[in-house]
This record gives sequence, structure tokens and C-alpha cells, in this order.
Amino acid sequence: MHGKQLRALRDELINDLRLDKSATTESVCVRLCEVMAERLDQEIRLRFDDLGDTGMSGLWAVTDDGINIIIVTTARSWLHRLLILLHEIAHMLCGHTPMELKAPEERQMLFPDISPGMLKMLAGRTSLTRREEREADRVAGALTRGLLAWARQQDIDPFMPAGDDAMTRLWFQMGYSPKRGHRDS
Amino acid sequence: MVARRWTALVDNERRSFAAVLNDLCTQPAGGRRHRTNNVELAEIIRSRGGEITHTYISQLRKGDKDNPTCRTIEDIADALDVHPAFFVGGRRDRGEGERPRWRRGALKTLFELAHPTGRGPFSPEEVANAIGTTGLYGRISPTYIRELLSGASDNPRLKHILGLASHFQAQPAYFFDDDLAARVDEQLHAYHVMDTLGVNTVITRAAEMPPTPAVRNKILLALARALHPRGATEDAIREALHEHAAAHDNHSDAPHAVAADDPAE
Repeated sequence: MHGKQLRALRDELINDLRLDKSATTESVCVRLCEVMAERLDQEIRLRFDDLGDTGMSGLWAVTDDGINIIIVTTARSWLHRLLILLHEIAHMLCGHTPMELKAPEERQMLFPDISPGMLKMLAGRTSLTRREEREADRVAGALTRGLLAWARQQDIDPFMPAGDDAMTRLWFQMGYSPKRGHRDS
Repeated sequence: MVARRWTALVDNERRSFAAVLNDLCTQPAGGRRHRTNNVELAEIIRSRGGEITHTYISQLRKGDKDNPTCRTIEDIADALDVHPAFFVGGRRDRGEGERPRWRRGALKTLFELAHPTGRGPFSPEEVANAIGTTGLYGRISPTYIRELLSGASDNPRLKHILGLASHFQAQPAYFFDDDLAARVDEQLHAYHVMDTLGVNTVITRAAEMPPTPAVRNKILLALARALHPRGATEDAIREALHEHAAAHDNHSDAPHAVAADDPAE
């Protein structure tokens, strides 16, 4: 997904969100999934659950019935959870549906001692390529910047980063500075 | 590193029995200071209750005989202080005081869990047929497979072992290595639980390490909660996962009878 298409998508989504000044990060997450579900005409269940201190911050599962489940870990701040959610949603927006995925890397990662041959035998499943991961990162970034810009226009700052954690550094990377505030993309 | 692990499954990449045996005999290993010759090896094995001749060992080392029984593999491994899995592409070291053997129940687990989730387990007939068709492992009869499943027989030959492993796409070491088998079984079990939940695909951000069983279970339970908020399913899955863990801890092998080695292959 590139420049113009991405910006249009971002603006549409922000518009559809219809957030107001009282929006908490949590309600942004919930509303995002509602909007996505309408867009894609699919059921999306969002859950915040304990995925532990494992390095797995979020996951997207699809059932045989076509229900999408997005689980975001509760082991992170709300800001961080939002970013994780945006990443998973970005996959959906990019159309990284299970049927199009090719590399069995993710499945192998979940079941490292089951041979590739046995995995294939168990079922013909696929997973994301690195290219698709990068694409999702890019789209998530664009969506996040759009949200920041919207927040600035509202004259409120629900996304005030603080502290010295990775999350704050990420916000700085994406153009936030205490003096300047959030920068438009 | 992940790619290299699976060479044991590819026949022409796995080292032959003869090659492994030769290496072990010619390289000092463990406490030995010199090579082990065939006569010495035969004596060690016989002193521990096994039956084998130095002539047969010579034939094995040359590759003139290439289909020893499981018991022979175990006896040779024990005499040379290596894990029997080493002869089929698995680990070399065995634990202190360990004398690993053919794992009863291993084949049964493969039948139960290692099949496409869309259909039931393979039948012994299907497996026997498939192995015979490859032409790589000789023939194995459905009757014999049933005997191995029930435990009536527990002394398959090397080609049987390799053929069975190949059919299920399992590492042959699965039949000898308790640690490897525990990991595979737990993951297979988790795979089926996930399938029972109706989850088609799980996409996660790549973690630094493969997940531990605890992490994998966390994911399964989180999915269960997301799909069945009432709680009954989550409880059932939690129970199933704990049952599997408990059953594995309690599993123990019955002692094997010592069988005579049969040099006529």
C-alpha cells in the first residue's frame, strides 16, 4: 500500500472513528475494531489478555468460520497496546489474509519441534513473509501519525508520552517532541 | 540453524548407520583412550547381556549389513556410551546413568496425533502401504505395525524405524529421545487443541525465541476465552492441557526382555 492510497485510507479511518475529546486510548482501540469490522464486513473480536512477558505482544487469529480474533497483551501500557493493535489491523488492511500467506515461519515458531513436513501434513497453513511484516509496520506508522495529528487538532493530548521506555522512544522517532508537539506526516 | 536441524529427515542427508558406527569406533570417546575394535566391542556388549559377534559388527561397519535390530542399536550405543538416537540423526549424549531405549507408546502417539486434522488417524494398512510404496525401507506388514502399537513387539529393525518415522514426517530420534518426544508431543497436543477451537491461523509478531509450553498454553487459553466467553471451554482446555502434562510425567517404560541378535537379515 503506497502514499496516496495510504493517506486516503488513514483519513477515512480517522473520519469513521468519530472520536470525541473524551476518547480514552482504550475506546480508540475498541472503536477502531468496530470500524474495521464494518469496512471488511467481517467479525472482529478484540480482547486484551495476558500473553505474558514473552515477546508476543499481539496476535491475530482467524477461525474456520471467518471470525477474526485480535488479542493484545495486557502486559503493556495503553499507548503500547494501541500500537500493537494498529499493527494487527494494518495486516488486515493490507489484505494479508491467511490464504495469501506463504512462508511457514510463524507456524514453525509456534511449534518449533514439529518438522516442516509434519506441519504440512497436519494442515496446509501459511504465515507472513518479512516483506508483509514490514508493510504492516509502515501502514501502522502512518495510521498512528494520523491519529496524532487528529489529537493535536482537537487541542487535547491523549497520547502524552512519558518516561524512558521503548514506547516513548518510538513516539520521538515518529516526530513527537515536547516543544513542538506531534508533527504531521 | 533451523534449516540444519531437519537434515535427519532427509534420507540422503542423514549419515548411514555404518558411517556413524565407524566414527564412534575410530574416535576415542568419553573415557576411552584408544579406538574400539570389533572384538572389544562385541565383548563389551556380551558382558552386558547382549548377543552379538565381532563378525557382524565388522559387517555393520562396512555397510555389508545395514538393517540391525533395535536391540542391537541399543546395545552398541550403550557399549560406546552414546544415545541410540545418535544412529538416526539425533542427540549424541545420554544423561548420567541413562540407558535410553525404544520408546513404547511413541508409535501410538504418532498414530493418534500426527495426521491431517481434517481426517482421522491413518490405519496400519495405510501406513504399511505408504512405506512399501517408497521402496526405500523394504516392506512392513500391517500386522507387525499392530504388534508394535500394542507392545507385543518392541524390536523393530532399523529400516522399519526409518520408514515409520518417514511416513509421519517425524525425526527418527523421536523413537528414542525422551526429551525430544516430550517437546514434540506437547506441541502436537497444542496443535490439536488449537484445531479444536476452530482456529485456522495464528499470526503473531515474531518473538525472540520459540514459545515455551507455558506461553503456548497462554495463547490457547486466551483464544479459548475470546471464542467462548462463558468459560466452560476454557476450563475444558485447561484441564486437557494439564492432563497431558501429568500423563507425560507419569509415563514410564516397562523393562525390555533381552533378545538374541539375528545376523541373518
